[in-house]
Amino acid sequence: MDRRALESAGAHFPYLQGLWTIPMGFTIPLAGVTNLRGGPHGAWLLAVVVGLVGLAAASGLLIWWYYRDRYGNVTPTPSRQVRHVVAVGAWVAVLFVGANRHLLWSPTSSICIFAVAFALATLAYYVILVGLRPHHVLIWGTVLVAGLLPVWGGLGVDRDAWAMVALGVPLIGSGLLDQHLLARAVAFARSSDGEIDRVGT
Amino acid sequence: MSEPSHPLSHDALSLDRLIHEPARLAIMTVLSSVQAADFVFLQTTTGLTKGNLSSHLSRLEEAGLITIEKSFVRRRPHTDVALTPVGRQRVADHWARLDQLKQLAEPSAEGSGVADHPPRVR
Repeated sequence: MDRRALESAGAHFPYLQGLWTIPMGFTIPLAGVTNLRGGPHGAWLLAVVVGLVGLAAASGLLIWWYYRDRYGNVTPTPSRQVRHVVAVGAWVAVLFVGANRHLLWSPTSSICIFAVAFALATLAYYVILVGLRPHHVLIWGTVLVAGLLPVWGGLGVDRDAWAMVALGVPLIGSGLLDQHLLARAVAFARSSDGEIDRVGT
Repeated sequence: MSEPSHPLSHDALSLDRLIHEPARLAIMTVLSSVQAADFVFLQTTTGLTKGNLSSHLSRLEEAGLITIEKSFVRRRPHTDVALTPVGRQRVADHWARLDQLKQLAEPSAEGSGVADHPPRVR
């Protein structure tokens, strides 16, 4: 029996439910689209908002059913709950600094501070909560480097909005890989039970 | 004839039979990493059938190692399971003992004689 596999399946379960990034992956680009200066207006804007919010809500409901019926539910230990609050706090704090127009932002900058802050905030979130996995480093490291590349100047004041539109992809990709990790952790916990069952009988 | 002396007494190495049963040890180990888990989660992580899991949970509850809370959530039956403080301590002690035995088993392979004294199961 693999003690660590069983403990890890329980302790990390609430934080590796990566499918939740699908509705988030719809809403963050929505925030970007609505912030675009030359973006959709009037009926078009309404259609985009209703469409993406509807997709986010529908996918959220399906995901909620899926986790409830397929995996069940756990209440994390108080220390894990505190870590979660700290992780979310760190995510919000880093993003606040990166997105705040009065701090690091400049209309003439050729890099995208928002994308850099989003990547750093997400990496910090994972470090605090579940530890960095290779796909976190790969995906969010790529976003970090992309944000630092001096290619954003041409987008002017719209660059944060375009970054939000693009961030939906790495967010969903990272979440799907988290989900894969979760499924593997649960399968590994089950198989480690099987081993001891055979040994113990 | 007296038994050869050993640095650790049999009491120190004795295993808790109630917890040592593989399915129950898996249940208690999963529960030790959370505050509470529901029936579906325990079934998913341990791979036990509903009936098997129920019977193991009943035994653990009778022994005062876990608490079971049954309720209805949106008209669906819901069972939450949590370790009692005693259960949390017992499973931690049990793993500590298993780790101790594992450490002792390593030199035993080289002929220290520990293998001659298998752990006693309580």
